[in-house]
Amino acid sequence: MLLVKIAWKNIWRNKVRSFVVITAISLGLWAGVFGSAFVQGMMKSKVEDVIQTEMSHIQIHVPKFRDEYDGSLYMKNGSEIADALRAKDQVEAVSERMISMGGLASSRKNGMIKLVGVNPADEKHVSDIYTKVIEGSYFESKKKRPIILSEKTAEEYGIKMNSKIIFKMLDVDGQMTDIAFKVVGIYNSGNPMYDKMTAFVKLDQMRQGFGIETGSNEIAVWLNDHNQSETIAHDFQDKYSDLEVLPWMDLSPGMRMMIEAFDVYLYIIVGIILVALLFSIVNTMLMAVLERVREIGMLMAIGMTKNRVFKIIMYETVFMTMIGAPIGLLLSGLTVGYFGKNGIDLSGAAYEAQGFGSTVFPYLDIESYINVTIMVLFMAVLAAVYPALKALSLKPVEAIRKI
Amino acid sequence: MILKLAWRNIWRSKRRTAITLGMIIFAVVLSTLTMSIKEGMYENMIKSTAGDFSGYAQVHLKDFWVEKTLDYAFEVDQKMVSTIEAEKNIDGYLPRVEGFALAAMYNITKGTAVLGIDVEKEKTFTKLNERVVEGEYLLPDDESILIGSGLAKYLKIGVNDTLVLIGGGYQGRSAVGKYHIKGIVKFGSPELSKQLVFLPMKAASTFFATDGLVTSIILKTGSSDKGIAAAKHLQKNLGDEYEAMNWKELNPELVNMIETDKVEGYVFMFILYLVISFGIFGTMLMMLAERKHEFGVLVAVGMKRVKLALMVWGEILILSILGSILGLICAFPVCYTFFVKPVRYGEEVAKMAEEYGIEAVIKTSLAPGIFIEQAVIVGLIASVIAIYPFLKLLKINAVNEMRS
Repeated sequence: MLLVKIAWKNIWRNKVRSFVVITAISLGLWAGVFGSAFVQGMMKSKVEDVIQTEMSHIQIHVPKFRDEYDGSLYMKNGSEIADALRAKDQVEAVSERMISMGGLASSRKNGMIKLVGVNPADEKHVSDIYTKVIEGSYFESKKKRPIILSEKTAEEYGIKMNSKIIFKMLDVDGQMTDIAFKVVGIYNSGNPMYDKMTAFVKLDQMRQGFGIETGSNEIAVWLNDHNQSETIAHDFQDKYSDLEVLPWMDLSPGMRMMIEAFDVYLYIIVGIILVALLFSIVNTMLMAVLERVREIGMLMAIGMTKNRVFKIIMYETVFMTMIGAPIGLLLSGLTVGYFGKNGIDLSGAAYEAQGFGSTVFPYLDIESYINVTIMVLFMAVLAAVYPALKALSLKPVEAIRKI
Repeated sequence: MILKLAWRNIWRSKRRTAITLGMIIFAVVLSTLTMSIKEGMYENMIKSTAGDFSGYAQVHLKDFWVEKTLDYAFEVDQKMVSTIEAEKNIDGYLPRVEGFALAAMYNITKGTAVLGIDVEKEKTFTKLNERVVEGEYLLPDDESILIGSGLAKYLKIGVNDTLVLIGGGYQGRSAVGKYHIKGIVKFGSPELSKQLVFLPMKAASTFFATDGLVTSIILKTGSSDKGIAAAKHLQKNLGDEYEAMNWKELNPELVNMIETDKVEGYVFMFILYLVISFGIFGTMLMMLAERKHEFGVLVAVGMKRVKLALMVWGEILILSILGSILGLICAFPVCYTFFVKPVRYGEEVAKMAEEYGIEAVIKTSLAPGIFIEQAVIVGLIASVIAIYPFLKLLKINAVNEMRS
């Protein structure tokens, strides 16, 4: 107990030294937390953007449909499946789609485009595309055969609002058909890769084009909890074994890799910050110990054992860590909270071109918060071991002799 | 005089000097390593997406890249060859003729990109022969093709089957041919695997009726930077009739991705610099506290405060410069270790990355620019932080300092 008291008093005896160590610890903690939050927030918003606009949580197709968008591969009982899914507790919304990869021609350009037939009322619950309409409206007009194009497609093909376009597609039997549409809306999702390919029409008109009455070739599912996507997709897959049920991370081939690679990246970042912190504390403590050579020598000379000297120094570190940690946590809580709400604007970057918003909202889950904190505190205490050991190697007489 | 004092002070207390230097050296090593890892990641990405197959630079007839039709085929004449060979950044060049055709098998058809290649040269420069997963690589006189694994799967065909190609040839002629499949090649990118068909140049010439003309010349350079330089020089030397494009122009999406990632990297570097700065600041604070008595005495015996401040500032400046240089020297072996022995990703990620044709390792970059940049940045940070002790010493009170 005496040692604890001495250590506590020592901290306040030399305020500059303690201030440096305490600040190093709180700053290190802040850096660890904020750095991780930044990376995690970035990842989260990228993933959420993709889920909300393009993928929804789970998609169901006939196997191989996704390879080439072959029109004959559709679910004849699509509506029944959709209704069955809607009845489930975990499912919030379901939207049936009929998709065709076909030719779009204008006076300026001939090209391929992915035409997605949707039921607007259902679709609004699984994709936020309707919020990204910049001209016209999302199927609110009374026009007979409405189509919504991306701004990019409209520009590329030289198509304006209200103009008529012809879409060439193959029906379920492989026969070529033409359908005419009128442009009622223009959207911009922010992701040019997606925009370049995708346009929307009404589901029943798409079915007509395919020459069928019912059925769909894609069912998009929105869940209550997005973390459950993988397990629920798995359950559905067991139930509909002749279909292909995929969670969002498997819908795009690069997605899973991106997520995994980000985890690795996060470890590297936290690792580097921890090493930087370790070194800056070792340094300060080393200086603090060596500065006190005379004092420590004196303590040893009047009979304090090495063991006790070591303990004093360690106690001091633990105390300073205990003071620094809450400050650091408070600081990180405030900054992550503030930027989490207001975002960090990185509009200098080419984000938009890649389809992501240019603002990053840092975010850290409780688990990582705790992990980072424990790691930083552990590092701080670890950092004191070397300087403390160094103090032990002092010989009392020589130590006192020094200035 | 002041500088001399500063220099002597540095060597007077070796321990203090060692600690301050250590902090700066360490800062340089750490920030260099971080940057080097990032740059290494980009290099890896660029290499696997651009370099390995499409080269760091290409030459076409002007507008080919936008229109992508065979009508932009051109002759590789003596002048062109000598211009390319005169460019010192280029290790070699590969002519290719690129066109489109429908591949038909029973009732399945699929649009493909047909590439007429110089069989021998591809072997040396792009190692296309090593991508053959089934069957054999082509010979220059073969009337056979190699197809991508994704395409083979889609058309449900394999080695020794026959594939019919129907497409458009040079200047509106139609191109029709029946070819024996000699091998199947696998590419990292599923996109490439799904649509590539390779023909020996001679057979392609007949198929497209291009008569030896080519649409692109792939330039093989030692690094991505050399590719950019080579494209720039060639553009000047070849004239407006041609377009010499570097990998950035050929892969705008990749560039976008890297640029975005870089900005995110800056935020992280900023956090790291902050931690480092405080490490250095802390060391200086300790130094000031430790030398209070000494400074007090100096002022008491009549040293001007400005001179004293300048002296300490000089000390730190010398240490910063020394530390940056030493840090640079120490950073090299650290980065080199990870360059020769890259860290591998975990099994699962590695498998996915490799499917994508990206080498599943974290490898550092040894570009000299990174080392110098980081040394300079850290050196600057240290010298800026030195302003604090400078200001502090200007207001020093001799009596108070000596008493403590």
